[in-house]
Amino acid sequence: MKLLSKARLREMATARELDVDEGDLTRLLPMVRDLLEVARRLRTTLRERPATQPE
Amino acid sequence: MSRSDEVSFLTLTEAGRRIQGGSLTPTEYVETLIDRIRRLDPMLRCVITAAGEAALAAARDAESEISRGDWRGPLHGIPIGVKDCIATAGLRTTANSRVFGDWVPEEDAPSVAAMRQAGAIVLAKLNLNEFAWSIPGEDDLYAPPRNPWSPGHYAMGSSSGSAVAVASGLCPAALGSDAGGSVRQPAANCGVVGLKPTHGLVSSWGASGPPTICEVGPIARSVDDAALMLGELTGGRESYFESLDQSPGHVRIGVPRRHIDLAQCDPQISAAFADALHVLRQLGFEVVEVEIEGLADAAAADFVVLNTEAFAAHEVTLRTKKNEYGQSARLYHLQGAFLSAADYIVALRVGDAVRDRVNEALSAVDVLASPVVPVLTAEAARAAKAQPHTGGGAVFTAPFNLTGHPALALPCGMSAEGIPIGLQLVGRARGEVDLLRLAHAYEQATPWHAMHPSLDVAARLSVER
Repeated sequence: MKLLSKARLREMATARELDVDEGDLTRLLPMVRDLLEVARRLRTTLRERPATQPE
Repeated sequence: MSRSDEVSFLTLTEAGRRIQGGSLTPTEYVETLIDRIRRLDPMLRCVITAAGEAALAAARDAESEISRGDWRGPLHGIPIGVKDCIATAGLRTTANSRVFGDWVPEEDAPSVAAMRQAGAIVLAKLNLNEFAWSIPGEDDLYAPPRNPWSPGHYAMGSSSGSAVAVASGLCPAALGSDAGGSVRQPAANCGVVGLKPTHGLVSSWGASGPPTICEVGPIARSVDDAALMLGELTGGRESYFESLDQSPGHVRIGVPRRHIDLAQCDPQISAAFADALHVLRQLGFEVVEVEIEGLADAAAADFVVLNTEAFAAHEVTLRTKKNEYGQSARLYHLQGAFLSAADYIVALRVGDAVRDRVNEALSAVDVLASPVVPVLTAEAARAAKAQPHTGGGAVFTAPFNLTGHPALALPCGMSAEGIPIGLQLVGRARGEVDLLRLAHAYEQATPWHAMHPSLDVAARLSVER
């Protein structure tokens, strides 16, 4: 998966009509990258669905 | 111990007995605690608004009712604290944000209304991370509460003020809210009991939390007290407190060992948890290891849900009152804007899948046990959140917000630095009676709940600095 760039984050913020400045985008970038990576990982998890077995 | 200190550290249950018997009046109780807030809160920073005159008026009313023979029950005339994101009619509710800085709700949240209906008195509104979802800092509308056991550290959040107030003898019990561990973590960090009820058992309306995963729950000094409050929060439909008289019977306790090991707990937490399991075995309970796939994913998914719902709730004010948010709270509430509807649905489906697995595990065992947090201090928890959406410090607590199972934190040890360590017990959905019975049995066999921080010394040192 392509790493989210600051330019892409700016585009997304503009599309969502969010009032964020360059400083906000810099601070948000690692947070949103992480969040989107988690969301991507969860899709994989959901496909696998391993069973639960008490030992 | 002075009369004032003795009264300040009464359990809610004992205070109720004394008020009913007439050896303590609600007025004396409220006056004692107001004085204690005045002396200690400049150091603790756990109170946002003290109800003062309103609390005293309510105490006088309670006294009149009780003297007329209209005793409502064990909470009648008992002063409690309320996390300041939970609405209180006629009493400012800030959520520790300039966005809500002057908001005085017209209505109580149902949880507060239930407490007042039982005769409890709202003594104070208690500090929290801004909107219960931010990294706290000195620039917040109200600076973060200090851990009374180690005032050089902040208390863990987000119901930090509620746990600090209860641990410090500023009120016998408080309401908190928990969307990822925000009742249980501060309770553990301050050496008190915190309960996140089963999803939907207690109304979380009016608590400013993400509705799919947020529960309002009690923070108290004993399991008895938490049970008493839960009974009132649920409208007295279930006798949680009375059920504690009965033995928990043969209980099988499941330990999700692999999940715990992957979290790489502080060694002192691992040692305290091992000791707690030893005590539980000595009490005759069976402790077995269980494997539940996906608990860490459930923790991460809980934060996807939290972020999405937090943005949805704040979308308008993030535009109209942008500059009234603290920087951390604003960014925390903005990040959910970048998630898609599909991300949100996937996170909920992960919750469904892990709920099934937890239910399956809880068909073979009665209760799950784990540490509450993998680290000792709020600062370490913050560092663990370097990737704030993957669980971090909430890796043991957040899964059960998403699955909806009831979970309780109670003290199980103390670090070398003197910071409390907590044990988490997780029960079956609507299985609070069994959960509280087991916790009560453990509490009765251990000394931790009876310990209090040495606050007057800490307050004096703070002033001398």
